[in-house]
Amino acid sequence: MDYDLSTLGPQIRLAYAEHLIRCTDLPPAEMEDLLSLDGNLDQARRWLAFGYAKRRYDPDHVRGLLVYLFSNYYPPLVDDPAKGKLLRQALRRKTVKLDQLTIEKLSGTHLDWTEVFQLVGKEFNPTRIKERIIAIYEELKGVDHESSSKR
Amino acid sequence: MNHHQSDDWSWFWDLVKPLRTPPREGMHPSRALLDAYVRGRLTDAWQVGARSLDQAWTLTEVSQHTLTCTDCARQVALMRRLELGRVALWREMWHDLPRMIRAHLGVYVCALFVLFAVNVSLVMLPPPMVSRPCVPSGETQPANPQMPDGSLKLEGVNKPVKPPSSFGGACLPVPAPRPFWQTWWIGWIFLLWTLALGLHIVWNWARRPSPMPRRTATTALVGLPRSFCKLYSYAVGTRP
Repeated sequence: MDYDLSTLGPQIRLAYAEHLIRCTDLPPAEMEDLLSLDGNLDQARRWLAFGYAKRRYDPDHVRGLLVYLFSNYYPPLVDDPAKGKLLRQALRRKTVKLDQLTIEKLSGTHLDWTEVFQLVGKEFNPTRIKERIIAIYEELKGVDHESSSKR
Repeated sequence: MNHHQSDDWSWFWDLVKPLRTPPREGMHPSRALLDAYVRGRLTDAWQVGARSLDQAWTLTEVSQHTLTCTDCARQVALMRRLELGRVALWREMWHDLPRMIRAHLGVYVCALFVLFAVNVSLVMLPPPMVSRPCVPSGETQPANPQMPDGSLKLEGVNKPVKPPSSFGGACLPVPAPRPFWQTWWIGWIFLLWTLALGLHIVWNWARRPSPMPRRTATTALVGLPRSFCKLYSYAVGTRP
């Protein structure tokens, strides 16, 4: 069976992101090669930064940030107003959990931060989490540059 | 670094790029699988104890397929619309009730059900049978000529009454009167119900989040004569 690496790479990275949300992700060190299968090292590093941040800091904060990101910025394929209503209804009843969510279930729901905090079960400072993730990304980039210059 | 901090959201937006092609082009998950996905019954393939409906599709694969396949996305949207419409008004009202009231109602309904079932089963049980002393067919009832029994139907002086022929001379067992706990069961329901209610109130009181400010013994004692004086003044009409 032939695989098109240019399409497989983004699929793997989005699958990894989804597993980060559901907390079923594998250790980032084991994912490095798989995430950069299509040769897009920068994208792989970005997702790895999420994975490392999840293990280094409070995992729920990173999961919450991902939920907000996919809820607000991933474009839905078709118009599905019932999706957001059902999600908010489940949030109100406290019947939805992070480990049941997928990117498709989040896309286009436009959850605000209050709803994300409700879903995660705690409040956090999103700016701080963003800074931490970017810092880890810079670390990873630095490490890669060092290793490539040694070669 | 500063460049990233100034425009950090764009750093994240770059990650959220929509997929173009589905993971398995040309293949679609079954309707049952999509239904399970919408209802949140489809679990991760490698979760302990999880058993998916269709082993060929994982939760992530269904999600990614729905993100790229317009037909399946439309089907899922329709299922969600139906799911939203199925939520009945009473369910909405039930979920809008405060959690404490829902818990109370749940406990009381369970208690009522158990009590009702227990009482019904007690009443439905056949009562124990007892044998009454009776007269064997061959024997004659001793008659006391000195003290004639008024309740006996005497055919003649000192002639005993014969048992009816249908009895055939044998003694049939008769149901014994029920013990008191098998009668007036409605009363028992309410008695135990009240007990359960009381226990529940005590339970809630013991578990309340913020305890009521306690009055010390001294405060209570000081307050008692004051209250008494107030009551007395009302009684004698010195205060309006």
